[in-house]
Amino acid sequence: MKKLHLFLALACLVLLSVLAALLTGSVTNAAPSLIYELRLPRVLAAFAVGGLLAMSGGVLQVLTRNPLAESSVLGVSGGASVGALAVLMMGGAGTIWVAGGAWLGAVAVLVLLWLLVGSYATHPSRLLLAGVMVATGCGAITSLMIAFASDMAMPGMIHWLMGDLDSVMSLEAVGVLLGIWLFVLLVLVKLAPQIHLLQLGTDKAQSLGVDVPMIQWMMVLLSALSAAAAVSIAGSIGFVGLLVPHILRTIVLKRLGPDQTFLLPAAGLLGGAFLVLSDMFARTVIAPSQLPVGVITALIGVPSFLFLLARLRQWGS
Amino acid sequence: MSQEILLQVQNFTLTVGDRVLISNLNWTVKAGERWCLIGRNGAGKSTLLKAIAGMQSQLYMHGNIQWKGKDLPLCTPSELAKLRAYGEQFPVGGIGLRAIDIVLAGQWPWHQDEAQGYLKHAMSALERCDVAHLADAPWQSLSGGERQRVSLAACFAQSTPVLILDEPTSHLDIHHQVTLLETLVDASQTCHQAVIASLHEIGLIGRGFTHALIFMGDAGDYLAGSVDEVINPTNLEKSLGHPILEASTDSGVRVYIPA
Repeated sequence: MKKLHLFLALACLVLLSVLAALLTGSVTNAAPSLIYELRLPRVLAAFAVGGLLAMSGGVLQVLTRNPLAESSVLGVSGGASVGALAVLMMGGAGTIWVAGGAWLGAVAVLVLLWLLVGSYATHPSRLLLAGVMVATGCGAITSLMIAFASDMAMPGMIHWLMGDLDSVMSLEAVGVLLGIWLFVLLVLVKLAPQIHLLQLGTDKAQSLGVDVPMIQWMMVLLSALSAAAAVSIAGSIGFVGLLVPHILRTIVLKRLGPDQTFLLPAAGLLGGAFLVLSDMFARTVIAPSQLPVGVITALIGVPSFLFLLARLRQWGS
Repeated sequence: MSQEILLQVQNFTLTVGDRVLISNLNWTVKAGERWCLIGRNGAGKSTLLKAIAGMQSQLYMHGNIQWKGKDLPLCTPSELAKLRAYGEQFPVGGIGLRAIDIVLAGQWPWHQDEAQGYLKHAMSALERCDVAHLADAPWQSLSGGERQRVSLAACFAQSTPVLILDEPTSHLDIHHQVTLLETLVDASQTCHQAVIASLHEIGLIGRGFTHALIFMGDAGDYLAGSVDEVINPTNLEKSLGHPILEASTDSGVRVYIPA
């Protein structure tokens, strides 16, 4: 079983990256309590956030039939940013309200898209266009808010925008995040065969017995849930949702084809490992100060994505 | 010889906007029959195929469609997927899909796992359509005709009693048009599969089809029956709006050509 071997290899990679991230830090030979109280929540959060972003990206790429889709395309990340920045602007930095504001923003974008498109399910291309517009609008509002922000709130807002994980402190929040990760993963495993057929186009999928509107709905909801959860904890981290599904596709394309029953759960694992390692670099590369992890993912993501794009020209139809 | 009735359409009317595509259609398809749908562009061939395949919204039609005696709206999607395969006019492929993935997906309704027969069945379907050598080729690299043949292979792999094909010959070269028809004839004679296909190549009617449904003009009129009954130059001219000549090959196959 090729698939099983690949999954085992991925699970090993995840374990190794988590271990490495727990043992690496600005303080060498850290005390166990330090690892447990400071590094563990952060590493686990990085894993869940990365996995959620990657799964959300993978789902959206099938849904919109566009290899460049990811959660920021739906405007969900943008909406979450506006929500969180509004809280930061009002001086709520460091409170749970930042996450709450991000959630509200993401949900508001979904409601707005619902009003704009009518039904996401039947028109993926309209959803994509509306999503891009909403994302652009959110970007403009974000700039406006930064322009009007007080000197006190400004650094926090910019830091959050670049995407970072140092606000993660409590194990409870991490537990909720991991729960969402597991939930999304399990539902995707259940739906993956039908999502796989959706790649053949809605008509063909329907003729093969797939309940197309229901599956498309589930895909929208799952990708939005994942993106909102990830963004509300970690700010806007780009390229994970874009890069990870593409890496997986290049690895397995020759032997398995774009088999979504493998790709979607595997994205949940590899995305996690990817962000754990990125965050490890972000913490340590210029220790004792830290880089935002979003900068690292973009620095790794942009060149590797261009490299993949050059190698696989046939993706562009 | 009584053949099993697979599809029964009664008092069926199909409209788009103010236009009546077909009115009061009564039509029965039995196992082993090969139907061709003849008509101009926009006459409603594709819409009718989608309607009987259960893939058209119920808004613009009324009447009765029954699959094996069961009303179409009562059939679940997975039941339908085991009754009929639907070959699109313009097959769609996704990012990175290979030809073999498209054909493997065609077997999904039967929920076979990756047992041995699964891949073998898909490969033999590809062979029947003469594209086995392209099994691992990415979809984007295939030509229009090759895509069409892969898509047809997927329909064969679905192993359904009925094949509904929307212009299966439109992108094929002449050699493959004729071989495809021979494959369809073979499938209907050995496995009693019924074929319903829309067709523009009137020269092929005599070679592969036993029955024809002809769209006659704008009022939703139609003619349905065996090829001998309904296919003649007069009817074809009325339907297609161009004079048609009839010829015979040495083996006695009747061939129609635009005059």
